[in-house]
Amino acid sequence: MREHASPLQLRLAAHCVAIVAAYVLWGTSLSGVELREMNDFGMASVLPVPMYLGFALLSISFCLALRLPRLAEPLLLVHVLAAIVMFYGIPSLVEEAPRIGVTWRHAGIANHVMATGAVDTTIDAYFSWPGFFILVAFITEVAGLSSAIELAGWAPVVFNLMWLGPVVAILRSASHDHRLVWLGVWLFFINNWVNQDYFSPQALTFFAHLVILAVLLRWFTGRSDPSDRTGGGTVKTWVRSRRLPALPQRLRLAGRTVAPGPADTSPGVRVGLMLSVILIFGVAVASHQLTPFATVGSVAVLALADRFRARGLPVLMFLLLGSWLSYMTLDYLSGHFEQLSGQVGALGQTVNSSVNNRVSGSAEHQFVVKLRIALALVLWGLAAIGAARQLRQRRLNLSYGLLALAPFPLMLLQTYGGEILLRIALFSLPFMAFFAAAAFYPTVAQGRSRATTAAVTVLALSVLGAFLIARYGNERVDYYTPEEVAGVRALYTIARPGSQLASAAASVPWRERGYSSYQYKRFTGQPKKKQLVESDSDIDVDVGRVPDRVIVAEVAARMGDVKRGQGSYLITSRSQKAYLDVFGPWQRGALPRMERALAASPRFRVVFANRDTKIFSLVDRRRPRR
Amino acid sequence: MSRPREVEAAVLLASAGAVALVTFAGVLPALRPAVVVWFVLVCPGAAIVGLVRPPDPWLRLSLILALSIALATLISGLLLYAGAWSPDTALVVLIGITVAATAASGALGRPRGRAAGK
Repeated sequence: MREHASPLQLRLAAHCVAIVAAYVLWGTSLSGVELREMNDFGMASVLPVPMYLGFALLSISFCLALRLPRLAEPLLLVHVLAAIVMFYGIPSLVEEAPRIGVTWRHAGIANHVMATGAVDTTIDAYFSWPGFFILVAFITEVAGLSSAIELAGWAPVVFNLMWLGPVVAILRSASHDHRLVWLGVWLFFINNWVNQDYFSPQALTFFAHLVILAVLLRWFTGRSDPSDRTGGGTVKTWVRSRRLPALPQRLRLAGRTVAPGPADTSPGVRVGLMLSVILIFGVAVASHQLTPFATVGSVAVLALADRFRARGLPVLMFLLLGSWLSYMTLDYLSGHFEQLSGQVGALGQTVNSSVNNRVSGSAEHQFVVKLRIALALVLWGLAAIGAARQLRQRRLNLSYGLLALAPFPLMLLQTYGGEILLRIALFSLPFMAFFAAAAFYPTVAQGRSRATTAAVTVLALSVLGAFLIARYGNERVDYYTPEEVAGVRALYTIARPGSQLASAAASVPWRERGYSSYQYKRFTGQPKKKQLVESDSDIDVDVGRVPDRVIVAEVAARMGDVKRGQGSYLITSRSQKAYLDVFGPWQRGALPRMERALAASPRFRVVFANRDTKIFSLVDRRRPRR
Repeated sequence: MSRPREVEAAVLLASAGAVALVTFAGVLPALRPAVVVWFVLVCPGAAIVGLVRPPDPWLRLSLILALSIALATLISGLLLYAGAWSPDTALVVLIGITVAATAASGALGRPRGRAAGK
C-alpha cells in the first residue's frame, strides 16, 4: 500500500514546482527583451512582465521556505543558485557582446601581457597591480583562446557563484539559525547592485577578501577554550576579554549561546589554513589597489578588539602591502603622489564625488541614482534595527558589527574616482545583510509568526524590484551591439599603430587590441583643458547649441594635435549617444548633430559606417615635407 | 583511503591527465577551454585542500577556488617577473603540484584510515 506524502513533503514539492515555474517564466521571456528599446531606467524598462512574475514567484517561494518546520537548506540553496543565474545572467544571455567598456580594456591588458610576456608599469596604473591580468593571460593562452574577451561574457554569474561559498561560510560562522543565515545570503544577492562583478580585478580580489574573512572568522577568532559553547563573536566573550570589559558589563550584555564557536582543528590544519590566507592575500595585494586595504582594515579591527588568535597577521599583511607599494608601484605612485595624498582626509570631496556628483544626468538616471542611495540606506537602516534587536536580547555579535563598519574609514583615504562609497557598500554588504536579516530573526525563538514572514516577503519583493532598476540602470550605456563591436574592430583595421583614436564619451568597447599601440582620448569626462569646448565643468558644455562650424573647428583642433603622417580618428557610436543622454554633459541629440556637421565638412572623411558606428578620419591639410 | 578520497584523487589525477592531453597533445580541441578552466580554477587547490581537510564544506569549496587561483597567479607571475613568461611551463608546474599534493594526501589519509579501523 502506498504511503501518503507528508505535509512537509507536499510543501517541499510545491517549492520545487515554484522554482521550476519561475525558471520557465524567466527563460521563456528572455527572447522578448528588446534591448534597443531601453530608456534611461535601463534594462528594467524592457524586461517582459512574465520575467517579473518569475522573479516574484522565486522570491515568494524563498521567503515561504524559510518557514518550513525543518528547514531544508538544500532547498534554500537551490533558490539562491536560481536567483544568481536569473538576476545576474540576463545580460550574458540576451546581449551579443560583453557589457561595460572597462571589460574590454581589462581584456586588452591581459592580451598585452600575453603578447609581450611582460608588464610595462609606465603604460598605466593597471600594470602596477597586474595579478588578475597575468592570471587571465595565462588561462587565455593555455586554453587556446585568441583573446581574453572570450572569458568575459559570463563573469557576473561566475563571480557571484564564487562569492556564494564564503558568504554562506561567514554567515554560518555567526549563527546556528539557518533562517538568519539564508535570509542574509538572499539579502546579499538582492543588494549587490554595485556592478563590481564584471570581468575585473576587484571582482576577483573581493572573492579573496571574503575567503580570508571566512577562514579567520571560522578558525581564528573568539575563545580558545573549546569547552566554552559561547559563540566566537558574542558579547559574552567580550565581557571575558581583557580589553573593553566595562562597556558590555555596564550595558548588561552577557548573553547565551547564539553562534557556533571556532571550529576545532588540529595545529597542523590551522598552520595550513594560515599559510593559505597569507598566499591568497599576497596575490590580492598584487592584483588590486583598494581591496587589500579593506582586508587589512577588517583583520586589524578584529585584532585590536581582542577578537583574534593570530594577532601578528595584520602586521604581516601590512608589511606585504607596504612592500608591494614600495617596490612594485613606484612608477605609478611617483607620478600620482600629489594627487593621491591630496585626497587623504578630504571627506567632503569624497562624499561630493561619491554622492552629489552622481545625482546628475537625465531625470530617469537621477531617479536610478537616488534609488541606489535609498537601497543602501534601507539595508543599513535594517542592519541597525537588527543590531538593536540583538542587543536587546543580549546576543549582539560585536565582531560582525565591527566588520560591518570597518570599510567606512576608507572614505578618509581616497575618493577612488568617486566610487569609494560604492566599494564600501560592497565590502560591508555581507555583514550588513547579516544584521538586516537579524532584524527579522534576532533569536532562534523569534520571527516565527506569519506577520514576520509577510514582512520578509514584502521586503524581499520591494528590494528585488529596486535592485533590478539599480543594478541595470546604466544598461543603455553598458550594452554593446554587434555593430558597435564590428565598428571598433574596423577602427583597428583602418588605423595604423601609432594613430590617435578619439571618442566623444567614455563608453566604447575598445582597447581589447593594441593596448599600448595607439593614443586614446575622449571629448567628455576629461580635465578642463582636454574637453571639446573649454569650460568650468562638463555640465556647461552644450554642443547642441554651438554652431556647426564651431563644432567642426573644435573637434579638428582636439584631433589635430598629432605628428605629420600620424592618423587621427574619431569613433562615434550608439552607446556614446546613450552615455551622453544618460549622464550628460551634452544635451540630447548633440552627438548626432556633431556627426552630421563632421560628415558635411571637408576637414573630415567618413571611413566606416554601420547602423551603430561611424568612424571619421581627420584630413591632414599640412603640406608634406619636401 | 576512504571511498570519497579515492574518488577525489581519481578525478584530480584524471583532470591533470586530461589538461595535459588537450593542451600539449592537441586532443579534442573543442574541449580545451573548458578542461583548462576546470583544471586551473579547481584542481591545484583541491589537491592542497585535500592535505588540510577543513571540516566546513562551504569553506572547503571556497578555499579550493581561492588557492587554485592564487597558485596559478603566483606561478605565472613569478615566471613573468623572472623574464621567462611561459604559460605552458606554468601549467606543467600546476600539474606537478596537483599530482604531488594528491599523492601526499593519499599517503597521509591511508594510515589514519587504518588507525580508525576503516
